[in-house]
Amino acid sequence: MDPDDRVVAGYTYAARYRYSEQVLLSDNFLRIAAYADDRQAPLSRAVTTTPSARAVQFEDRFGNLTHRVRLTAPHQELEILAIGMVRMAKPQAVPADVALEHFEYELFAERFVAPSPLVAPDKLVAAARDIAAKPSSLLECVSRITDWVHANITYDRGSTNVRTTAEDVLASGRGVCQDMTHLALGLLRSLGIPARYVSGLLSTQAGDTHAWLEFFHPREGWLPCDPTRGQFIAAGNDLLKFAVGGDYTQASPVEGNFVSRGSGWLEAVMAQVLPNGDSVSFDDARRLIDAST
Amino acid sequence: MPRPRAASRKADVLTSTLDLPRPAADGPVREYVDADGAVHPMYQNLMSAAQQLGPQGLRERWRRAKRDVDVNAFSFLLDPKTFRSTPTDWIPRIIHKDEWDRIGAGVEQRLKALNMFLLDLYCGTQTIVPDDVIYSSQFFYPDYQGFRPAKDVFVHVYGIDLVHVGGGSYVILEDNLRIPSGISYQLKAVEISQRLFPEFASAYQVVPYDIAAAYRRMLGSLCDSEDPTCVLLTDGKYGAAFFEHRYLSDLLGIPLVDGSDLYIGVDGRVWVKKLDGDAAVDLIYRRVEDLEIFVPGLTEAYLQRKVILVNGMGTSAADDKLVFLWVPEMIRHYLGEEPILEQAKSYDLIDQETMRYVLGNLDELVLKVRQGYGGLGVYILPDMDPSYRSRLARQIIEEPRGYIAQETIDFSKHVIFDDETKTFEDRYVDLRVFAIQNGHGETQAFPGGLTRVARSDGRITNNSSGGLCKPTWVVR
Repeated sequence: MDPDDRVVAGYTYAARYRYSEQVLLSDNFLRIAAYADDRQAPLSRAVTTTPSARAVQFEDRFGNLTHRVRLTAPHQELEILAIGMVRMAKPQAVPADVALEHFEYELFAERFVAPSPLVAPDKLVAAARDIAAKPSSLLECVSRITDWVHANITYDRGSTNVRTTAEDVLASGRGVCQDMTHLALGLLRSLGIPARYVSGLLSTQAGDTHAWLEFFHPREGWLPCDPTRGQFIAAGNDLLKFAVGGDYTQASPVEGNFVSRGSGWLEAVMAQVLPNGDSVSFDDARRLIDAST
Repeated sequence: MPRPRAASRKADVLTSTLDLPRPAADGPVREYVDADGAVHPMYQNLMSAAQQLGPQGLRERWRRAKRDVDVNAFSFLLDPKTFRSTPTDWIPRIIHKDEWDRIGAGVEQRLKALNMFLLDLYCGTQTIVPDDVIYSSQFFYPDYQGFRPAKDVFVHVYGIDLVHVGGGSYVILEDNLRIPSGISYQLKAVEISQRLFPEFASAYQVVPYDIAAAYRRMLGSLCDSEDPTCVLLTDGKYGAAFFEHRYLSDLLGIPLVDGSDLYIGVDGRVWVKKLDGDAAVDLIYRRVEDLEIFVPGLTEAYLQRKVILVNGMGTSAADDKLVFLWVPEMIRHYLGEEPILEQAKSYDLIDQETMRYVLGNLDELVLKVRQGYGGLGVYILPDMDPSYRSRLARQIIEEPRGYIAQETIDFSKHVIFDDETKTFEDRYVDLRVFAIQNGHGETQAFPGGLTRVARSDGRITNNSSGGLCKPTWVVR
């Protein structure tokens, strides 16, 4: 890709957790660093927590840069911050279409037609056949499914939770971006199209993280598709990718467990993309979450 | 080479008068008989003694041993609040010293390599096991990065599960580094068998060993003070291995404490509550899983080097059924040696080609839950219903990092005597061997081990799966 086709963006992420009693130990996997692929080149990536703790970072089996933080200092509040700079590709043209039967997956793509903990494709086959209505090509199939999910699932905070499956979403007709993504993933997979969950940031608005999906195009590789916004080929640099996985359980921004007599909750989360290429600091992340609470 | 006639005749007599099992010729190796079904020369004295006692005599002896076990509270906790006496079969398993020497050397080699791996992982730059495998494990603790344990020992007490595949060859199934349990059962079974079955023991010279001395030397080697305060930390009398905790505390002369007996003092050290004044603790032999839950603040005290932990928390990173795959590589890398003992061929399901192979051959493999404990997360697929197999297939596709697959091994059976029916029966057996590593750089595997006997219908041998144990004698 020509360097002129790229723009530099910064991002900040901040989340605050509170606990009703002291937490003795908490162990966290953080997938809140910009993903590296041919559309998105991280220039810098950093993660920190308060209280602070020794962390390790590694690329997990999906290529997600994961920060593993284990806290043993007693605490009742946990703040997680991430910042970084990314060089992003400009929006791509709609790629050439291909006939569905000419599909030959690579091994790594094949993994994403398989079931994942919240997405069971074999239970969605009948619905998928109805919705896709004998598509003549890959893009037609993806676009019909995306449109259908966008038109038929009502965006509704509070109707679902982190354990809601794709089937549940189809049955209830309600959910948030993560649920719409799960349903679309399941429908695509049930028709044999490899599709994976993506967690990241939507550059057009500050707020919580966003979820969308990528489907596998035999010539173009993984292409973004955003059922929540009804974009079957999502605009490239509207989306800043953090992590990919089979579904939310494998790509969620924060996965953790803690030991405490009490309960814990996410008090606030606030992230943003700064498309102008200015550098960012942890203080920027903090200021944004302070302003929102 | 043909066996001498006399021995053969004697063996045949034994086989028929004792009414030993006579399975099909192509079945698994039976340790106490030859390839042609006659009693193995090493077992002839033992079987003659058994023949002389006769089924009624054996039953009497079994009952007497059972009383001894009950009186000693030689027990295992089966489910919350139900203790049961450790079911034991008293026909010893006999291993010749020549055979043992190779096992012992292989176990010690592996223990050294695993310890060096852990040091390299926390204090160096290990490159043997992929980052994703180590760092994604819930038993890896990032806060231990840079921590060096006292005298560079992470793994003090080590347990390893082996099976005999015939001809004196043993194959490793699993490593246990955090809280290997069962050493007291090894000692107790041998002690009772030698005391109550003198006619079995008289013809054999069992190789002696002194576990208490080895443990004391290990504890002493780690502490700088002349008279260190050591305690054994238990999860209490309703923990599965409470018998063992109490036994070891008596054997080593160190107090048995639970989490509520310990606290972190203002000096950051660990203190133990005592009637005659609390004392600062130098060393904790930990026998509980979640240290931080039992003693809040213990991790910090340990990382600040205010207390020494035997089998410290860092060990768990290598106590992972997936890390198992790379142990032969650790031996080559850190010791520059070839592994003495073979290990079961295992498959990392993250590799797509491997996954495809495993899914195509499920009916021949063993599947283990990666973070599982005991026998509960072990699925021997050839023994399973096809519908259950396809459910498991789905699970491994969903979470390939949650399992490993292992080849199914045709391992040995041994004979047990059922005192209810007064009959003999062949059962699968494995061998858990224990070894110790001290701060002087010495390792020692204890001759024999704990032989665990599977239930009559299966191949899983651990106590929590309802099996028996057997005294294991290493003889000269």
